[in-house]
Amino acid sequence: MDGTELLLEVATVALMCVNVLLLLWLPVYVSRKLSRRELTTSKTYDVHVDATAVLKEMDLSAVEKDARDKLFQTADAAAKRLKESLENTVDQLASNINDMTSTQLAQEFEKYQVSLQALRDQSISEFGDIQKELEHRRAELLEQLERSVAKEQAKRVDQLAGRLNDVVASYLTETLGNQVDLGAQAAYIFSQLQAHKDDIKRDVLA
Amino acid sequence: MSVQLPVDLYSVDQLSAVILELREYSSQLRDAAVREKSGHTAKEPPHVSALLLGVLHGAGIRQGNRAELETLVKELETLRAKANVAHVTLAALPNRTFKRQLTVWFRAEVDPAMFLTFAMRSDIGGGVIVQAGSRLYDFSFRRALLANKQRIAELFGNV
Repeated sequence: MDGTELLLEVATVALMCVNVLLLLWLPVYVSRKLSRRELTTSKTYDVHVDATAVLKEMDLSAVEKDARDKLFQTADAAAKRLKESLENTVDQLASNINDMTSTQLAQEFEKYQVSLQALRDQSISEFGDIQKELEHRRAELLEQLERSVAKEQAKRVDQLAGRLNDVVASYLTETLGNQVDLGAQAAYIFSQLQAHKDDIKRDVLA
Repeated sequence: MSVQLPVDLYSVDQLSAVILELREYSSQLRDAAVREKSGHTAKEPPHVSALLLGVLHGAGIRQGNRAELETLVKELETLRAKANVAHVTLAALPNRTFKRQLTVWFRAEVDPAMFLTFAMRSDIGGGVIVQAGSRLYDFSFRRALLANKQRIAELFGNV
């Protein structure tokens, strides 16, 4: 039971109390009015009515009874209308409360959904940024690695090229040794000399 | 008189030896002539090397003609002073045939009075290195191998 229902219950009990009080107070009020009217009339106007001559004792009691019955009927009707009105009011109030609650809940839920969506979008965006940053960093590292590898390879190639004279000379000496056949090389040697004959001649005779 | 150098005479050192021998030979001829005039018995004719014989033959000089021999000595000395020399380096020491082939080629294609020196370097693998004047012509196998060092280094790097 939440605060609203408690409030409704209290209001219902209060209305019932008011109704009961009205039922108790109304006859007293009416009799007072009547007695006051009698006093006022007697005081204001000096009418001399001989009640006995107008109404008999029996008629008076009948009128009083009739008035009381009508008063009860009126009060009952008023109480019924009040009860109906109260019930209608309670129903309407409950309906309004339901509507209001539904509306507020819907609004809150919508706000929650919007907030959740925003949070989700923000998370996606942040994760996207993180992923982009990671990709960027990965690309940088790969590029740096490739540069390092290429640089190291070039360095080693240069070192090897620098020592290649010694390497090739040692290799030729070790592999060929005394197994060189100048006769087999004669064709190559004379073809090279023939190809550079003019240059050699110019340098020799210079 | 034009000297036709024999093919076996390919170096300046040989030429110097020939000049010395030629002087000695000329001197011996002069001594023999003096002995002959004084009535002494002539000695055995002096020994002449094959190289000198080739020079004499190439110059068309008879062995007993001292005047021509003296002229030849002067020509050879002049030739030695003006000699064009090429230094030939090979992967192995050349035999006589190969030296003759190289000498023939240089005298036919470069200079008829060309002299050569021969050296050996086993680390060139093959081919020939010729130093002519101040320039070096390297036609060795090692140079051919090292012509593209970068490529060789890459191939080594890929092994």
